[in-house]
Amino acid sequence: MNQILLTGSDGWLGSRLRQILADKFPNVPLRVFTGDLRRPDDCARFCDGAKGAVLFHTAGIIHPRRVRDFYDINAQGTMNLLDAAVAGGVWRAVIVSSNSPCGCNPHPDHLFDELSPYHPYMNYGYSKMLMELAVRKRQQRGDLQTVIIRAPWFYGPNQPPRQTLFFHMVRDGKVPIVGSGNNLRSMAYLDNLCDGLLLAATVDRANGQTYWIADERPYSMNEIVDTIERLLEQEFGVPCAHKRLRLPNVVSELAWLADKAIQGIGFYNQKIHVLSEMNKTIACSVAKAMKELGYHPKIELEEGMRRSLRWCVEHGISLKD
Amino acid sequence: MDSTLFQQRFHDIVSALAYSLAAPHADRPDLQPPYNDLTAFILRQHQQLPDYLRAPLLFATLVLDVGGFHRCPPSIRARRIRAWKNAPVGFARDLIRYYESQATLALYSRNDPPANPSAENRTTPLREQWHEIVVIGSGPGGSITACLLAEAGRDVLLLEEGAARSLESCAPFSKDELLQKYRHGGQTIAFGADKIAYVEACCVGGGSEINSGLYHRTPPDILERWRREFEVEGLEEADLRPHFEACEQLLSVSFLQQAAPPASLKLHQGAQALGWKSLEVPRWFRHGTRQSMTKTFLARFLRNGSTLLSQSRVTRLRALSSGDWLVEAEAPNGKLRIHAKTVFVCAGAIQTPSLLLRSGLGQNIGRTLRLHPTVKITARFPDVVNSAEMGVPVHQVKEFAPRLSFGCSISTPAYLALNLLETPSALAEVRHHWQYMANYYAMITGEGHGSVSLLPGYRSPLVRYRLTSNDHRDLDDGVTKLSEILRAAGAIALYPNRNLMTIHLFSSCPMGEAKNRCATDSFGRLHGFRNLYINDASLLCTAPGVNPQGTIMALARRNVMHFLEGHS
Repeated sequence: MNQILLTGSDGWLGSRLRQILADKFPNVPLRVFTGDLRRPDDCARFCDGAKGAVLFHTAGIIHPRRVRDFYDINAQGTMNLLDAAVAGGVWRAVIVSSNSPCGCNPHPDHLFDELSPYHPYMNYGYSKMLMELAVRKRQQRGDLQTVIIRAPWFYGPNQPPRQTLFFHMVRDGKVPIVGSGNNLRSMAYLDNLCDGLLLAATVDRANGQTYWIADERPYSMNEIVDTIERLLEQEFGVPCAHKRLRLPNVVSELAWLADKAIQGIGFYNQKIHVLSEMNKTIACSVAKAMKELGYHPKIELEEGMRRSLRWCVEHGISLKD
Repeated sequence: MDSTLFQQRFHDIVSALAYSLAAPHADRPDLQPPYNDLTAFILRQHQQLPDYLRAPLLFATLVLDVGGFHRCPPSIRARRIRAWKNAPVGFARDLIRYYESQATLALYSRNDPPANPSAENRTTPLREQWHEIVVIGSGPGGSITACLLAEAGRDVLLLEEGAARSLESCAPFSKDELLQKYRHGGQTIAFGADKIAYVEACCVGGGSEINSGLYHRTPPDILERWRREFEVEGLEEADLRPHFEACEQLLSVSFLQQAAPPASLKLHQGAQALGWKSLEVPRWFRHGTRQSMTKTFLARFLRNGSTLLSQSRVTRLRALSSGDWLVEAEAPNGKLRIHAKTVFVCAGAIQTPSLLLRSGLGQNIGRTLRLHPTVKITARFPDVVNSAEMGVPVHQVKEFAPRLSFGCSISTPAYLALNLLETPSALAEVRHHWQYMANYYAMITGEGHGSVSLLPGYRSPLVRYRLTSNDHRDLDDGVTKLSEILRAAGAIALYPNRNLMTIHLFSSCPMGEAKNRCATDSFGRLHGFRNLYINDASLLCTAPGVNPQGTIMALARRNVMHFLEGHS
């Protein structure tokens, strides 16, 4: 690794990865992407003279205003970037994907792994699937080495306002628990995910592979909310309402319909989208990454949430009001 | 719902079934979830099913899911599966049994050595070709036919439906072998009051690539019966001896150089303790490696400069007004039309009659299929009898031959588990003590028979079989006697499985001069045709009561020699 290229360095994941890279590889030049992935010229400038470099592609859009942005940025933007990377001589590209190309688990005890077929969830999932296919195509052509990392819902330092809002909803007893709340969700603590990304960049046999990277086990929706509530109250002195907004399954199904209808006319509403996913199982197995990359997620839900809350406090983000 | 939605739903249900069926086995670290590899295997096997079963199975599975089975929590799914297993409706029972056997096979094969994924090199053949002789099928019958004809200077084209892979492309009796070399992934059934699972190869080299290579000459009393009842000429022991000897030498049929596997010896010891006749059966073995057609006759055929077209499935034979044949085949790059003066059909006891029926040729085709009905017992011993490198068991108990034969069969963890599906408590033993267990079989010669017929609009032939009451009695007797042997050998637990299976199929186009019951003359030429021959297991007049490959090869050699004499 003679040089590191990083996209999305202002984002939640990218900014954390940037800190970790600077820590771990202080002597390797780090170049961050500035510009617009939709413009091939910006990409070309970014990758110019990057022979032998490792590229981490963490940029992407998840909650846009318009559906079009999914395709322009996640799919076409990545293609622009990869074509520029090939021209610039990048050695290996580590591409951050999502659980969404595989959709939701077909049954409650199912775990996604690298054998799972595509079944993209709405436009975001579809755009990430197109991205993955484009990545694989270039790898198979021998253009460059690639590794696809599929990460589910993250948590951890540098969190955006939407995650703080989630903490506030827990505090106020307004988190919607749709159905039993026993549905499983895999989550990725940011530093675990960064470990996975670094391994993907360095382990030889990772070339051409796809890996799920998340915490070692999935958590139930109830466990996630209960953990945050307990930490808030016992360790951060934030009084909580001890309530849940319990909703029947049909609410998520209705939200799904509404989300589909809104996206159908080209728009996007974050709250409706998230509500539609609330009762879904989105859980994965990280066994392949553990076996092939030597990935060992160190942080579990409680410690990860504790660190997230502490980060909020340290950065002047109030948990109380 | 469009078809992709059907497929998606089918995937989800299969996944739910796979997770539920595998969950009870998860007390060993390598058998734990996720089970998406099982789902992938089952879906692939579904694609390989005989075509007339594919859609019914899909729809039956969707029906099973009415009420949202697949979305239920695991505990509720487990309860439903238990109920289906004991359902009064046969359809639910059979369906669950099918999924359970596929899931179990995939689960217990997780530690199989990896298969060699390399694809074969295949050149694009000419669409229209002219040859003197076309041989259809490259199993033992077809390979010997093609090889000897080519070496006699004839212009021979050998067509094979399956792919060309080496004997070493996958581990013997592994899951990948099922996918690579078996027809329909090994999922073939002779229907009837008692269903009989059977297997056929579908690869270059045919059955010789997937079997154990155990070798027997045809018993003299069987030959006598064929001469008498089917009026087969030139079938005295003395007529066949040179052909047996030639094949045995070429295939280096020999006895084991090292000690036999312990599981095989157990059978031998048990029989000896009872004073019953037991013997070691010779195999095709050379310098410690198994032999097969790709190693012997096919290698010679190719060295001779002759052409083998793999992945070329013959769909029909047409008689041309010139008296020649037009062989129509499907290959990966399109259809082939091959003109030939003479055609040898050597596609095996199921596919040979199926091709002739589809082409509307011949008489007494596919009406007298015979096989060796077989049942298995899994035995548990106090000492270690099994290992990952067990090798092929070689002993057979012949005290009651030809009516009954006993032997030791494939005993990998996957095959042990498959044999114990109906005994869940014993399945736990497989997980933790499989080295102490082995599978044994009792095989009958039987007197029943079956048929091969076509279903309009479908490609796969329908195979039916009917056991007689004597057959049932023999099977019961077989289980009793095999249990006696195994107990005498020190087995501490026996788990009989009453599901019938067979790996020996023949007699669907018997040879002989008795035109009322024979499809060909005494040397394989179809009655009523000048230049159309059969030269494979279909010719055997009745069940030989021993591993049939030695008979098939000797007859094939005899018939080719006869053909060459008559035409040179």
